[in-house]
Amino acid sequence: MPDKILREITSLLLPFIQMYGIYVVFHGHLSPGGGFAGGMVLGVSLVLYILVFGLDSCLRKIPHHLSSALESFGTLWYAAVGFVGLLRGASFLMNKGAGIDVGTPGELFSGGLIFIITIGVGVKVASTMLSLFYTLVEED
Amino acid sequence: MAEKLLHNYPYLIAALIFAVGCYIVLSHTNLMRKIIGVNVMETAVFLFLVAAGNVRGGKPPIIDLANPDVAYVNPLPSALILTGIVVSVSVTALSLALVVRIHRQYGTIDADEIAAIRSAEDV
Amino acid sequence: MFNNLPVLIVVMLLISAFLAPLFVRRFRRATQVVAGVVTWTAAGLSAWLLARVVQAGPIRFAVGGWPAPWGIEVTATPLSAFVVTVATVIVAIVMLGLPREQRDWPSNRAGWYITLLLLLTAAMAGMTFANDLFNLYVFFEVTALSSWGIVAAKTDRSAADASFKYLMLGAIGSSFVLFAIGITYVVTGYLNMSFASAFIAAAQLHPIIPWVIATFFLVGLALKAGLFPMHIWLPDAHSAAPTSASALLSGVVVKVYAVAMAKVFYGLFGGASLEAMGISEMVRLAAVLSILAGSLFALVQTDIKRLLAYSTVAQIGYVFLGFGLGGTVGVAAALYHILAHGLMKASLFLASGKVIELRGSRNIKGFAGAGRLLPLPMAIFTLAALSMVGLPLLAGFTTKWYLFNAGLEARLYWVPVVVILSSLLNAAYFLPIVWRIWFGQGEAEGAADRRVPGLIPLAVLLVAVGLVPNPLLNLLQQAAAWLIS
Repeated sequence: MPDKILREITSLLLPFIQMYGIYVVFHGHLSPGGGFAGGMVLGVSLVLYILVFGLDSCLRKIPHHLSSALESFGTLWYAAVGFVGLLRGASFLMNKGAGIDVGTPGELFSGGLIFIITIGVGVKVASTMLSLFYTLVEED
Repeated sequence: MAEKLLHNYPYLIAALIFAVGCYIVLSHTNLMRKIIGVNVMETAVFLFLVAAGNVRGGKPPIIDLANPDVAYVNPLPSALILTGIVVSVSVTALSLALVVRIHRQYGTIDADEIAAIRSAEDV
Repeated sequence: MFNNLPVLIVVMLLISAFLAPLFVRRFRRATQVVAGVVTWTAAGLSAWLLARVVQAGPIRFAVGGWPAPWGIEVTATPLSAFVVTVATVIVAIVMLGLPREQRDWPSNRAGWYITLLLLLTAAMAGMTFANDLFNLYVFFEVTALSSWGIVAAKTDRSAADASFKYLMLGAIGSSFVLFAIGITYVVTGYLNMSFASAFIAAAQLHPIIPWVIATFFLVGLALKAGLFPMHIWLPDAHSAAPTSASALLSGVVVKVYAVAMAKVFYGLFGGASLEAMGISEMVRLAAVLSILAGSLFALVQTDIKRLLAYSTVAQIGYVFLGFGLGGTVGVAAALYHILAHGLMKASLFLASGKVIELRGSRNIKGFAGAGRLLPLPMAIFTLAALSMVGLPLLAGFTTKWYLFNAGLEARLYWVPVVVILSSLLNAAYFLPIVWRIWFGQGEAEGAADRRVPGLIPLAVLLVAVGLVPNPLLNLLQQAAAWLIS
């Protein structure tokens, strides 16, 4: 069991790390980063949680099948957003060309579908990191 | 000629690292080292592409609406490399998972020892 | 809407791939059925696409509405539509056997296996449709990742070992391909093959540059396709995999890499400059070595799956030889062989999987007397083996005949010699097995389940393309003409 200092500091830091991950995901269309980088930060925060508090306590919060399901969800989300363009009469993954309001560049809620699609990518990457870690650590 | 080579030293280094990585994969028998070798090879390619996209003195390619006439670094190679990194992470993860399984099943992660165990089995 | 079809085929398969693990725990049978239905739908759609493309010319589609040099472009030419049709049809047929194969699997593994099969199909389709080099690379990697996964799907330890070997060599291959793509981008400034090729044709490049690009592509793709000196992973990987995976890996996947090579080479450089650079000659040489060495190695195998895998090394040589010969006849022969060999090798693997199940061993001695126990699968095995040897009226013969002619046309008189020699070698390792099946003295006991779903459609298609090759070959010559021009 890791010592008390490590646990205290980790529990202090984790919310900020995860907040930063979510920030990076949400600002994917405005600044460097995006779904992959932010999702990675989120996923690594979960790995850090496992390393400090043990595998079991994380498995209780996010079971392996849930993280696998989230992985599928992230991909499906991406594909579903891709179909929005198709449903509006334009082509697959079309954004502005399909008549979607892209807002003012530089604002948080702009970029049309990019913002929405990035969330799916973030979920996918974070849960994939976690699933990978589970797969590598678990005794099956 | 030599001046050109010096000017384009990142490409030279990339080719060198690529060869080193290839050598590591092929020459080592330890499976972990092979994985590291593959990662070294991939990193060499990433270096090559990043170096190609670099504009000396260029700014990060984030559009600043107040000041649009700045020389930006070519963002496309970076985007490609991000994808490349994702791919290389998945390859590494899969190979690590396989190494875990091989270690569990053979009790060793040395390619020569595994080959010895397998040839003993076949007889 | 119709222009979206190439993307839709890929996306449909991807979506179902990621839905499979969500439902397999509760509804395994339904998941298998749905996976099959999706693959058949993809096969139907790509056949329709093929028909349309042949009539109305190729489709160019810019994903997300971003036009070509900036966005990702997907093209459906007769060539890519044909290859995708072949791949999806064979996957769909092989998937008919999934419920039987997965009977004793834990649900987790069964689910991921279905996911990987669908992912593999999607990635192969994506790779074939891609006109953008980087998009090609991504699908290339997805294909590779999913094939490593399905090789490791069995739990015995040779599977993990074989998959790891495959993975390491495959990763080297990918790095070479990525390097080649990187050089192409640096030199031309484009990732789109049409634009890059226009640049290469117009610019006065130092001749070493296209040569380096082509060589890197050749090394990388030949590693993945298992061409002779780079084939060492193939027998291990294809024999350690579950039966359906072996059938697909040998029957379809290696050939998609060959198609990718043809697309990149003809797309970037064009036939004349390939010949001038000596790349065509390199391809032909590797192909011939592959044909001869693969067959020679197959001769000495006692393990049926390894024998079939080595025979794949030889047969992939035919595909590369066809592409290397160039000209409409050669390329058409290569394309025809992609279909013919896919059908033959899938039937051979599925039928021998039956024998392995019956005897509990992969030794070819197990085939002795198998004809009495499993008449239908063994009849189809015999048919496919004879077709491999190149008996007239069967599909294998047509390929050989066309390669023979393409060789004469290109004034390369050793090609017919190699083709005949290879037929003799094929006969030398297939006929003893066929003899054993029908006349060998083996245990006639054994509770044999005679049904092998999927074997009959494969055999019917095999006979059909063998007996009536002309409509197909006309189509393929059209596809070849598109590729070369």
